[in-house]
Amino acid sequence: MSADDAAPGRDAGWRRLSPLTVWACALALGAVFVPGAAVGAVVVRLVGAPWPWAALILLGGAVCVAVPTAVEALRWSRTRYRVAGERLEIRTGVVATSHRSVPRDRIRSVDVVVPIWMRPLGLCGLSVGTAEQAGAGSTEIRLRYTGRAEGERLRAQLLLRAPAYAAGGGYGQEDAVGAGTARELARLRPVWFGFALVSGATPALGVAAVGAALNVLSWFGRDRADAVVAGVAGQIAARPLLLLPGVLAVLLVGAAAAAAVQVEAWWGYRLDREPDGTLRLRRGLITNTSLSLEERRLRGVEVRRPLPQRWFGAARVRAVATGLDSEGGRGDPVPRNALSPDLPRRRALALSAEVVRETESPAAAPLRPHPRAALRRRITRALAGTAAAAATGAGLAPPTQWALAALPWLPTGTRGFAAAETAAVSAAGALAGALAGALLLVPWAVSAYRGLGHAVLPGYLVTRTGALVRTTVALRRDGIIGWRISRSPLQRPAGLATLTATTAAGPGRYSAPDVALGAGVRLADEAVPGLLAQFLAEPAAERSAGGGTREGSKRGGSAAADRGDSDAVDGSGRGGVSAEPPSGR
Amino acid sequence: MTTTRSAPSATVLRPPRHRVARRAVVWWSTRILSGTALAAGAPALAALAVPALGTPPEVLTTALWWAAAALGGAGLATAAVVPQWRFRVHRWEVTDTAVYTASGWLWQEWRVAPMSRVQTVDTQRGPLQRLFRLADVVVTTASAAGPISIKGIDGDRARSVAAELTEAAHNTEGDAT
Repeated sequence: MSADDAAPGRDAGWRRLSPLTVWACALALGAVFVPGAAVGAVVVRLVGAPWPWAALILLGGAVCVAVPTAVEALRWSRTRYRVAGERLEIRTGVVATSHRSVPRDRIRSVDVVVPIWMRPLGLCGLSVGTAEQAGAGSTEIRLRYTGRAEGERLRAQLLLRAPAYAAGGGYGQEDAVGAGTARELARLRPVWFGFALVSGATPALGVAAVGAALNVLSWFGRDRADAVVAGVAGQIAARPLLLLPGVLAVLLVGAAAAAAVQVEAWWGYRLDREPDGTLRLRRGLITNTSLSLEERRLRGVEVRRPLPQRWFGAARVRAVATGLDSEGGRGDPVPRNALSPDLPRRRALALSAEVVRETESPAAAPLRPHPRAALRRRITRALAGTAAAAATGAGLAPPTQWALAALPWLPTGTRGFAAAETAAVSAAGALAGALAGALLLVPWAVSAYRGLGHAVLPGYLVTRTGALVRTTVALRRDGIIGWRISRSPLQRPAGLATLTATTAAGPGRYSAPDVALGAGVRLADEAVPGLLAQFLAEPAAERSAGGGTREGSKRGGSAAADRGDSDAVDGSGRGGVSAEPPSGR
Repeated sequence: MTTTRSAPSATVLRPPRHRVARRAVVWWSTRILSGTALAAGAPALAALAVPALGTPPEVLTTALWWAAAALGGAGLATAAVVPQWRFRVHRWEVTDTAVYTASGWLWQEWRVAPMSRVQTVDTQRGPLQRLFRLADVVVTTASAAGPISIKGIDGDRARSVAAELTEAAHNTEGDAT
């Protein structure tokens, strides 16, 4: 807390959101409803309805503007905030008032969002991410909207570190704080948008565009739309080669849309390390977003390689930080913990190293593979999926045949199918399902297995998972706040277990699935020394020594209670994790 | 690599030191049995009530009785087996530096949380638990992965464990993240 913040008169009082918020609301609603009501009134009058009807429409338009504006004005007048001492306080609510007070050291991140319609008014919105995980409800506090200057002031003030706290905190790199100017870690290169063209969104967006076009067409009458569809289908049935340029066109439209989405989200991308110990991410074409993330909230870094882009060497970097989950904001395609768009892999690794202030990226470390039993488990799953696909195929084939037979025209080459026996059709369906399942699922299984890996580095626990989105998480070992080792009935005979490190950051847990049980326990013991060691079943001498510690501990009261209803268990007892492989293996 | 262990088979987690209270078996059984009584009672009551209201087909009454019998049988079997199993697999331990629990029969789970990362400690006692003088201890950390809970230990014991844990959590600097 700096001196001027504490001075009376500056922050002692409550502040309001910008009054322009109410005007912005009125203007936005007016822009929609005033022309709408006017057009409606004119149309009604032209159709020949009496005057009162037109007046009613105009009145309705006025109400649609006035009522939400009044509500907004009420909300504005009831909302106050202040940064007092070490707390951010917010009072809000029209019917039920709420008073929220968050200690500043619980604030993890501050987003400054400037939607395009707020730009001429000089307004911005603030989203404050907090570390309150335990309580229900949102962990995010929103201030909608304040002036730009006020937003920047709040951002700086909320993230400014209190000297006393910084001295006690164990995560920040104190020496680097407060000196120098912002250092740029990354800046957009437009050529990176090329990766968007080959993303998985491309075909989806292409199909969506075709759907949207059909929808627009159907405004001019369903019959006309149906005629167009039938015409196109007939053309394709007659000349199947037409499909090729058609698909290509759809993909092109999809690629353009995917690139547009990425350009909107990441235009002007910059990642800086600010002198006050925060990482600052700026991006956005229409909606400018600025995310400030305190470095001492950072618990590691994540490198993601989603599938279609992975073939072209792309990777993206995300933060593993407390108070930042992977969900996007409302209508924002980018998750809040994203630190970069798709980059070339080498750059992504370099950036991930920079983010955690290492010379070599922990995410690039060589990883230990998981046991072959993990591959067998995935292959088994793939085969089960294939069987299910075959059964589905067999089940779906007769209805398909029936639907084909009911069509007025038949695509070439399907006549035989439509006329075949039901049993043969079912068999064909099963075969098709099995083929599709095997062709998709077996490569998936192998890729999922090859994605598995783990390592313990001097400062980090690194785990890698995923077939479609191969995710490498480098979690700081001092950010691990617990372990969970779990075994499913199917993992047990294979001698496997899932090791999960729990943490306050991100989704709260990061797993290494299907490690060999003993290796998993060793890994956990290595990553957080001194925690698990006391629970390991060591040779007999050490074990009895461990029992002695317990009896000799200072907690006499509970030790006395121990004798009542519990019994000491030795290491070989039931319920322990045993790492011996099952017999016959 | 801070520690290295030569033989892989040497690395084994021992089970936590304490079992839950013996009375927890009675508590779990009572809970399952009361659930069973409700589940099996509903079709049985219906089977008794329907003939009084009209003349239902024979099949309906028979089916209702069978349903009651099946639900009751399944409930009794569960009540006979599951509490014993739980008693065998649910274990816990609190040391000076960590909380350690084991649970699960088919899906086994072991959880460890260092004392320094404990944020809140609650004891919870339902009406049935109060009857048997039992309590749950729920230990939350800053992780969204869910709390560690020790279910069905003696009420007084739970209070002392919670007090101990609260003290340890209170001594922790920072916000335990």
